[in-house]
Amino acid sequence: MLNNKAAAIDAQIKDLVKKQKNSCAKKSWWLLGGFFILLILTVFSLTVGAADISIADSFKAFFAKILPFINIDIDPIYVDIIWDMRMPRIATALICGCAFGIAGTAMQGVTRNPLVEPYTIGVSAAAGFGASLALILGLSMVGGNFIISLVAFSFAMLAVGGVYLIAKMKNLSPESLVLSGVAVTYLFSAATSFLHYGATEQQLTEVVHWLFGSLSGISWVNITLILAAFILAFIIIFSQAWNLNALAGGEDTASSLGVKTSRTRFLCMGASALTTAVAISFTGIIGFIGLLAPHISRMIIGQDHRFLVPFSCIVGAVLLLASDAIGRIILAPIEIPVGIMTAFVGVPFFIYIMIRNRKRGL
Amino acid sequence: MHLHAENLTYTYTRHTTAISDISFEACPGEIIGLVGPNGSGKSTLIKCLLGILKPQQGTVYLNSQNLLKMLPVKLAHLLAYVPQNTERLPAITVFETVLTGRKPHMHWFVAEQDREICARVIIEMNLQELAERQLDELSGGERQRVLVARALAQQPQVILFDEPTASLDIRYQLELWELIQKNATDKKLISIVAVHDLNLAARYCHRLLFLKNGRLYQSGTPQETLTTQALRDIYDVNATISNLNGMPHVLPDTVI
Repeated sequence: MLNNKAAAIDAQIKDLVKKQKNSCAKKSWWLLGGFFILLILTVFSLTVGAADISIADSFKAFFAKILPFINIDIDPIYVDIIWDMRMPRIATALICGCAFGIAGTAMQGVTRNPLVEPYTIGVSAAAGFGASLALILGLSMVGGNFIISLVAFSFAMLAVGGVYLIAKMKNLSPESLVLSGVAVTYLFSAATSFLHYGATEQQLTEVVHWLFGSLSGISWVNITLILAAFILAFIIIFSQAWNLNALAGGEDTASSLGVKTSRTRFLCMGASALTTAVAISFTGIIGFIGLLAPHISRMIIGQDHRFLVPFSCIVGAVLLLASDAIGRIILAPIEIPVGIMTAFVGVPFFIYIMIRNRKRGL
Repeated sequence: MHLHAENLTYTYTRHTTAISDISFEACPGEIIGLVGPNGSGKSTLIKCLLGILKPQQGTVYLNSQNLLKMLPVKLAHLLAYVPQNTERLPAITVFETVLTGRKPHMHWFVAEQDREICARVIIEMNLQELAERQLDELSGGERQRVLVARALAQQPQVILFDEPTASLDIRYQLELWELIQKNATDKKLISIVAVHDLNLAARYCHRLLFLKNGRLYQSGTPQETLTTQALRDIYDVNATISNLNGMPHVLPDTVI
């Protein structure tokens, strides 16, 4: 009798474990599926642009460079357009999308606040200020666009450092991070407005153009920099996946599970700030992805950060790449800046998912 | 295994609420009720035991192990915590929530053994039908059972509850207390429960620690401690204590 009962429980345990594994497998399939959608979108993006290149020619131009030993019959101008204009732009979109997605997920995870995004801790306002300052001082004459990016990045990190020091006095509590971030954001916004107030028409045009955000004209060297920062951030944030899961249950619960909550917050916030700051120093302010990608990902795949972290990268990349492609197509030959398109594309998608999944929290 | 806290003192830097000079002991299988008015230091005491707050004075030993000097991860092998279920809950499944209880024992990857331990606890808590449901789809009582399951998945020796039955209806309150009782007996767990309902505390706890203004007012069995005088001193309340089948029963009367 007792043996029977034990056997029955063992069978139930096996059943539960199997179900749990299936649910993990299902999430892995979502990851794979998302990856394929991203791949298709990437290939599609390659064929879209101002120059009228047919789909077949786009592919030929793409392969002409990777497979130089095969003689492909293609105009070398097409090869240049694909490799020097479209590919860098696509690569930038992919990496920046991943960066905004993961940064948003990490920031929302450590603050347990669904309204937080990578920009909440002052990164964008400070980068905007830095870029405005550099443009108005005419630093681009001295060192080109790289100087603008460098100044923007320096100010972004300065702001994050400031937010960190203020929040540190309050033991890095989520509220102190968000509040000091909001305060620093307002401070830099005001400083930026002050700069604009004294700027000439010509300077303002340049500044506004930068602030809109753009994925074009970023060199392969700089793309490598954005990628390196993203990879570092990914490793840090992904390694914190279990700690983020524990934190989702509350501060005290996480502590009781042995999580050093301040350390997790410091690591995730630092990694998010770094990858976001590097990305927007080159692209300008691209909004909404960092806020929307985590929400969309959570609604689709749930809040287990082992899956959520990589999935939010994919969703971020899909959103940014799609926004950029649509921005190039709908009013062609006029291009709509990607910073505007992200909201136009992301918000309807977000609302759709939100209504469909109204049962799930956060 | 024997829990022994001595002279625990914690002062918040700015607030007056704190605990001072609290000592008590607990044996395996024993359920200790922490009772006292709001702000009397029940939560502070629980946080000190969990290592979330570092007491300025005093010691906590589990047998010969000094808990206050232990790494958080090691401490999580011995002590588990069940919070009030008023926290906003994340969109993860019951199984995933219980799996976070294995966190102190795991590195990054989940071993087969961890999954089995969680599955067993889920069955013990009678949650098997809900294992793949999202937390926010569950009722209050079911959620509280999930939080208990997570704590049990840690395989602790001491389990601390912070007002676990707050916001539960009477059926779920009873159900939860029965679970606390069953686990204490079956697993020889030391259970420490902060609780407001004195009648439930009297019924299920072996001993009660009465806190007032951060100090230990008295401790002992419910029969010894639940007196008209004690309620007047601690809560400023006039109450009649009647005896129902050998168990003291509090009938509140007026506020003093």
